[in-house]
Amino acid sequence: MKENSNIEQNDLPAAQREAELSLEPTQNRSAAEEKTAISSEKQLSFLRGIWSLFLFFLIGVSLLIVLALNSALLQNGLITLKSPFISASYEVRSSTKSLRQNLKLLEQRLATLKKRLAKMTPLSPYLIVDTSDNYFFVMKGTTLLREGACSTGSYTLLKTENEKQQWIFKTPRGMFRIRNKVRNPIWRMPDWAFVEEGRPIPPVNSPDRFEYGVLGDYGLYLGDGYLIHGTLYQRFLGLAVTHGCVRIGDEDLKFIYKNLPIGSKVFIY
Amino acid sequence: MKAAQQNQSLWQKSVRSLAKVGHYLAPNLFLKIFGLIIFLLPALYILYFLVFLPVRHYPEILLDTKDTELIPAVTEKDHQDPEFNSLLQQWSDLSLEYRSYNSLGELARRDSIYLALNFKDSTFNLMIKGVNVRRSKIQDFKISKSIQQLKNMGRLASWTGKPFILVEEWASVEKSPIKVKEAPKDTIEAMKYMVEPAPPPIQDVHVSLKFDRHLILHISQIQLTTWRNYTKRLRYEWERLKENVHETIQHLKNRDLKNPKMWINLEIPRDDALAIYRAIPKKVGLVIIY
Repeated sequence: MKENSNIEQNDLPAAQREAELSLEPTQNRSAAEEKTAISSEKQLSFLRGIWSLFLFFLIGVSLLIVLALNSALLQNGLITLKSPFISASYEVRSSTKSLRQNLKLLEQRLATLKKRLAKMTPLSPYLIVDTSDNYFFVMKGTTLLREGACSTGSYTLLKTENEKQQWIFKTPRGMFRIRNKVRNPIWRMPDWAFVEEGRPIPPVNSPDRFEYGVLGDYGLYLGDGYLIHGTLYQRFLGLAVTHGCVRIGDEDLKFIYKNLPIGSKVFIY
Repeated sequence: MKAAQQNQSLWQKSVRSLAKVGHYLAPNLFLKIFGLIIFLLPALYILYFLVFLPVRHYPEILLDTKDTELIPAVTEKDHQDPEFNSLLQQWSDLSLEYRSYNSLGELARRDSIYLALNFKDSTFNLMIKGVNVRRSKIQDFKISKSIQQLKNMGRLASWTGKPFILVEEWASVEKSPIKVKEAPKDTIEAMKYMVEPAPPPIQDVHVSLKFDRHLILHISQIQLTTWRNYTKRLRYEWERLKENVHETIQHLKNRDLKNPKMWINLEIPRDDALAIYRAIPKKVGLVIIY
């Protein structure tokens, strides 16, 4: 039979024989390729799984951030308002009569409290200085007597070389009292005035330290070296240009000097 | 087939696309379920601890003082004496007002500068030692429901009965607009530095003040933000965001349930907002007259 098959094979045309011979390596290659294809498919699905997990995580984190940032709004949306309750002791509400009595007492106490608070507003003239708008108001009780522009601290930080010394020029805030009043005040220049001008600092009692006429016609002392005074630079009123003092125009300053005695309150904010 | 596809609504097309994406992302069921859990778990965690629990436990919070008994605003006595309920309401309102003014007095004695937020006459006031130095008319305001809920629960007086103290602040403007100047070496250099002062630029004012007892006060100007100041506004919003995230993480870590968000949004004129913000000290006190 074998001899016959050999004879049969030899009888086939050459092309056909060649084709039959070439089939055998192809079948072997496809099995290997299939194996490779399967393993690469597994790798791909693994990578897709990791990628999808990462995407889900990313979306989750984003949602987390959005919820966290809007938790106040969500809380606000979820609250359903309950029926009103009143906090009161039994003694107060035990009867209409006792409630009426307690209400009257409470009204009296509230009125007394409001009167006490209202008394904190001075009845004598006082000054309010607004360092933000650079404006002032002279008040008496709740009545406005005069208002106008002023200049307050420039918030400049002056630093020497190597930052050995530094000064900040700002007007302090709070309640002050007028400690002293003078006419034609003289300015005793501190060290920073020389440093700012690039001049050498003179000794403490040197006559170079005293300047005349730069503080206007009147000066009202608030303490700690701060003054309310006049200025040569009227055009700068309304701007923050001073070294901490409050500069006011000539006519306004005259009014303040005449109407605010020593001990008057000055409110600076 | 093409015609059928064209006739599909936008909603159907979106659902199909989402399904395709879902199938691509998670081809098998296990991955789908696992992905969904990962997707929803952090969100549920936040929703539960930050939103649901504070709202549910809300009535038990913020009680420093021993309150007297709580009674419904409308009681059975209403039927016997119609005057009773209105007297009770008056008493409650007056009691609330009395406590607020008492706090004002306390601050006036103790602090130099403090704030008073008066909802009765819609003003936001800067006070120094009992004197009202700046009164700003509130143009618009919003209050969180949690504060209204406190009032309905009869707990508002115990919350507002003491002054609030400032803890933290953010703003779109500088607190102190400091300019640094180097000392000149000589008079010639000093002459070069002498510049005619210019009026300050217009700044958009948005301020957030965080007080104790979970109160946050947001103050905004009524004027629209100018395009020049948008970066400063964004910086302010970014600071608010960072603080919000930081607070959220802290509360999630501590599982702090006593944290309902109590906020008040105010809109006042720009100049008032700027003046008030720059005037207040670090730990300023605030009294609310409701």
